[in-house]
Amino acid sequence: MTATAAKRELAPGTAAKLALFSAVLWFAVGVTFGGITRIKMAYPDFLSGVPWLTFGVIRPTHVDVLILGWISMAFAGAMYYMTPALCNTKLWSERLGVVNIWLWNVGMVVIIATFLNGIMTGIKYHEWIWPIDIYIIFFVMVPLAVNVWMTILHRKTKGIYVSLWFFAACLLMIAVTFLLGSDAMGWTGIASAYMTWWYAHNVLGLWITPVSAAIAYYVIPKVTGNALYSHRIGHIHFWAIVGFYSTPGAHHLMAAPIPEWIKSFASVSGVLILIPALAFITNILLTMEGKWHMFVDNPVVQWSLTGVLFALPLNVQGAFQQTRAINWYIHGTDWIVAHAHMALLGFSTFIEVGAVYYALPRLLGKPLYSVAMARWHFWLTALGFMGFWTSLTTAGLVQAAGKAYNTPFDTVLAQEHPYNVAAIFFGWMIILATWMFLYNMVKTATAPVPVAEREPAAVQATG
Amino acid sequence: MRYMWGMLMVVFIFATAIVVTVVLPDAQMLSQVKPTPQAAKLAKLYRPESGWTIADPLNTGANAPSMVGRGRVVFLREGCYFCHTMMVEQTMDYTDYGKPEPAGWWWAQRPTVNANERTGPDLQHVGTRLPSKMYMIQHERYPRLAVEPDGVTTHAPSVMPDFYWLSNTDLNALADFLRAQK
Ligand code: HEM
Ligand code: HEM
Repeated sequence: MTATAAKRELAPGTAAKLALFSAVLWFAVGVTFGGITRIKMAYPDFLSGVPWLTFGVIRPTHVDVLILGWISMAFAGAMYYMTPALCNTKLWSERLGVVNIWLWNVGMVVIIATFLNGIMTGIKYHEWIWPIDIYIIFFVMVPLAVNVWMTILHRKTKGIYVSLWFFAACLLMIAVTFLLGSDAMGWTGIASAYMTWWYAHNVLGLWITPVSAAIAYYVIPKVTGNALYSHRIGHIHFWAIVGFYSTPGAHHLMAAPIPEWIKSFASVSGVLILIPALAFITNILLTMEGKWHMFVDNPVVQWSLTGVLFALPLNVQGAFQQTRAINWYIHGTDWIVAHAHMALLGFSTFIEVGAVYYALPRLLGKPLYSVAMARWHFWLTALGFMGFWTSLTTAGLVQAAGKAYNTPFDTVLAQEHPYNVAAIFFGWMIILATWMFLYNMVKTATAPVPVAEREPAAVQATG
Repeated sequence: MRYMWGMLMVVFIFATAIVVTVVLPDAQMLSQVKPTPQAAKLAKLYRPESGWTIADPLNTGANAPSMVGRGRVVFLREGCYFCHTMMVEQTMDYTDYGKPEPAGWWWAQRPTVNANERTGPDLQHVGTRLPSKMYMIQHERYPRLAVEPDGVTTHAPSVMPDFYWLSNTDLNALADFLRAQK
């Protein structure tokens, strides 16, 4: 009896629930670090003199908490939820999934603690030290990948849906990317600069972009009730990602002394990324056929589709800015920071938030606590992001013009100040919305279930 | 079965991508890049591995063979590279920051301490531009209050954080490191 009770504790979906909740928490923490960073970029004396709150340590904390704690953990939650659903079976090991997420959370705490104390490698996007690399590989990546792969192998369906190809392939590619980008590889000299960007680029291209797309491939057809418009376009998307998105790392170093051929190669394959991007966007938009009213009516579709729509300007901007003719002008300015936020906030985060709104109420078996709050969340984030993007892009153009016309640095800083102030305002709209999101989800989870809807076992357990 | 072939195909394409974009360029860069005279000199002043090491878990830089090396660790610990590049680009950058250096300038450096944002000016040749140690330390402590050696120039709109709370040794080391960037 006790054995069955213990089994019961890990009901299907436990790992997914835990992952999505933790992810939302890290989301709120991560953007708050970003918000403080933003204030410091306009008013550097804000919280000045506190060593663990200097710009140089909270900036990477912001970025890595969001990439590793929010985006990647939301991916894990989505995989734990969607893989069994698409395989018509249970997750291979619910327990492993739960352990995986707890260890992941511990890892996040360690990362924040080390960063705030300046314990960093000095490699952008891979600031955590190599012992943490080992931890991440063994306690974060491997358990997640094994669980997803084993679930797919034990599937009770005949075919494999396109989302699952992405999950399966990306888990493999990100592991290799992670290894090659680790400080432990000991790259030196200019090769170390190159590998920093090879790694950072592939995290974006072989993990964040395709897994976000895979989530949209699941959520949009499910919610609208339409079948995916075309599996063939899905094939094109998949193979083009694997082929073209694994190579343009050098477009982050267009004016650095690295071999010219690799820059040209990156420039060309960088434009080819438009193929998977357009395939994906087309496929999703055509899937919406006849259901466009849901864009307004349904929060899940609203979030996911907005994310998909941001992918269009994002990728066009990317292809544009990486050509040599343009890149020298905006490289190193806030224009790029705006592009980065369009990518990770506008495109990726919107899709993941859609997935959370889709999956968490279903996992909890309860309706969303407040739909009104979800609406506020959407509009504050969407408008906040657009304002944020516009201010940063403008600041970037000011910096670029300053660079091109040899304007003294101080003049440029003074000129971009108003836009940096605007970015604080818009940024904090997003932060406010995110805490509201967390509150809404906690309330949804803790809301009492009407007695009639409780399952018998639960009724017994609570007497 | 079909899917096994698919997975093999993914492995094959990705492996090809790694050969073309990791193995080939890195082999070229690691074998063909020769140190510039300055890089050879600096490599001796930095500690052999100037990223994070177990021997110095808190990134104090105390094990570095020189103040310059220690300063490099402080630079890395405080995240200065998030705002300052150390790479004059092969563009019209030279009009502001001096000559773009060949790849050998970074020889043996690990990591290259080079992010992409330029919220502050490039520092590759800062030692040539600002040789005064006194000014350097003043500027590290209070960037908005420091007065350049000419007695007039200040940087009121600067958004650089104050580092007055760093130890004197750290401030000195940082200044030495920056002045060595010629
Ligand atoms: C056709 C597609 C794209 C191309 C060609 C492209 C190109 C580029 C280039 C050239 C840069 C560096 C610019 C510079 O520093 O001068 C950049 C930065 C960045 N891109 Fe993209 N991009 C594309 C799509 C995406 C997508 C889909 C994502 C993520 C989901 C993304 C995320 C980022 C991020 C985060 C950065 C900032 C990197 C940094 O810290 O400097 N991009 N992109
Ligand atoms: C889901 C939401 C977000 C994600 C995924 C995200 C991600 C990122 C990334 C990848 C970067 C590095 C960009 C680069 O180096 O080019 C970055 C930088 C930054 N982010 Fe965010 N961000 C988010 C939200 C925010 C918000 C809401 C704020 C402010 C209120 C913010 C403020 C900043 C600041 C100040 C930087 C540093 C820019 C610099 O050094 O010039 N971020 N963020």
